[in-house]
Amino acid sequence: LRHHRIVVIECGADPERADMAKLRSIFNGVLRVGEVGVAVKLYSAVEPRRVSFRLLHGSDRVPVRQRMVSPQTGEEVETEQIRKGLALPGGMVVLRDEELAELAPEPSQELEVRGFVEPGALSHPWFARPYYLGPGGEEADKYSAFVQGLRREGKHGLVRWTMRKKVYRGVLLPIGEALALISLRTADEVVATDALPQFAWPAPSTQELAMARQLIGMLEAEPGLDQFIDHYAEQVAALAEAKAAGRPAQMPAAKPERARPASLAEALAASLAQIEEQRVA
Amino acid sequence: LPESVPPRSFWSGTVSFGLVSIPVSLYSAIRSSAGVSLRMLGPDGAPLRREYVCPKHERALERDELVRAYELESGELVVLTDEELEALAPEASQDIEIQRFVALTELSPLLFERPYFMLPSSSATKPYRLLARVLEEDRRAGLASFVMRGQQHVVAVLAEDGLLRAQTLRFVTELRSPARIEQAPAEVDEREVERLRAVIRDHAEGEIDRRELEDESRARVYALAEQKLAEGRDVIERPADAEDEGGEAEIIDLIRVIERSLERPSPPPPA
Repeated sequence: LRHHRIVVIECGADPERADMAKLRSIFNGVLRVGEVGVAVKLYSAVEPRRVSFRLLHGSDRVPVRQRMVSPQTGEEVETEQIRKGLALPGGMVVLRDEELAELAPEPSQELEVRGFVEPGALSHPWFARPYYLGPGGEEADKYSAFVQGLRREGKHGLVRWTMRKKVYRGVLLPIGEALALISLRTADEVVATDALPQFAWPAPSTQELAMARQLIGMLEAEPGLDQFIDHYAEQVAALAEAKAAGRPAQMPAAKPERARPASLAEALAASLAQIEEQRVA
Repeated sequence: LPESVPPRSFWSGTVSFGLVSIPVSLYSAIRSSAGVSLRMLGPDGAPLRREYVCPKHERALERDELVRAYELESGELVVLTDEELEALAPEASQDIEIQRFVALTELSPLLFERPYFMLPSSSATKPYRLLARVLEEDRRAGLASFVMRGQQHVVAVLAEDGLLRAQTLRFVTELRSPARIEQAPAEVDEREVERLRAVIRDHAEGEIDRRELEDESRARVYALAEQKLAEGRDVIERPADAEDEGGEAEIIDLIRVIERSLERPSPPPPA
């Protein structure tokens, strides 16, 4: 079914326009550390701009609609008649809307700091979505003092809050003169690999390790992440424009296949030689 | 229910640095069975099936009858095929070519989008192990850009527990500048800063208690369902032929996939 989902392409935001407009907060609350509360506003740190595709019926180019049907009768079931079920090993149990509403967390304005930990306490798979926390209410001074305090202590906070009827956990960190709050995935979602068995693999040779280190060192550079630009979204738009106008689309040529060295040691040695050559040239 | 369905790889190709090229496949490092996925049931309790319908023909469509269209600003819909989309970045759709290596600490967690396992897809795992070992020991990541499922991604290739991982990153242009939120005064009251530092120290933890990251909302929903099942309330006798049609019941044991792809015997060392 995933195949049929509408595919979404990321589209870069215009930095100049983006810099002018102030953001609107999506949640106002109080960041609480023990007895201390700091009024804050929460903002999404990610642009929502995305380009999407639509699914059409191929033969008549009409956008399709989705419907839920009974597999027995093939008849469509109206939304009001649909019930929700949870599949358990022992059977399917219907959960009623009022039961689900009762289980939803209580709305709260609090963003509770559960503790402060060393940066890097969680690795990359845990991080889900970034937000910013800005000052809220009358206590902007206290907010600034908290940002400074957190920065000087060199710690990150683990925060828990409820938003849109959902419990969130996040990592709180200073960023510039502000705070970032990055929501976290749950322990069920993140697959741990520390319990993997040890495989009896032969270790790479000292020579291979040394050459790999040397090669990686030569390719070491500043992250330069702003050099990765999503031209793809523009290219998709250009392709669609060209097709609509009946023009042949300009396609980039495929890169010629490189000759593959026979062994790992040869590949490493050839890579090092190639980089040396480029440097001399 | 089958005990598990074999997880599908999201992408297969090569990861390369210099002239070293390593065949790999990407698998999601996030369990799709996590959270609560409720099934849509009919009034008789039968699990429903999702269908795509053409409004003109009023009939359900098969997969191969569907096409993908891009909407122009004029509102015109232009059909684009998978082949056309893949051809836009031909080399990027087959090879994750590492363009540079950076220290792991230089990657902001604000950029992290989705984690994948990058597993060897050839029995010659020596280059794979070499890259994993050096990246893990030196705490470095390789940066590259590639196309997967119709989207271009920036990706950090890094290693943990002997495995290569691919972490997709947001484009820098997708991140909003913190200068766009309400600003706080730059002047701070030093006594207040010291007081708050003391509060922060009071709440310092050695490490994160994993219980903090448990999904207790999910646990509550499951507890209610278990209770109703035990009491026989709202339990549906499932007809034998109403097996799971949707993809939601996907139960994936990623660990097993990882073990399988690593267990493949590597060829004997050259004499």
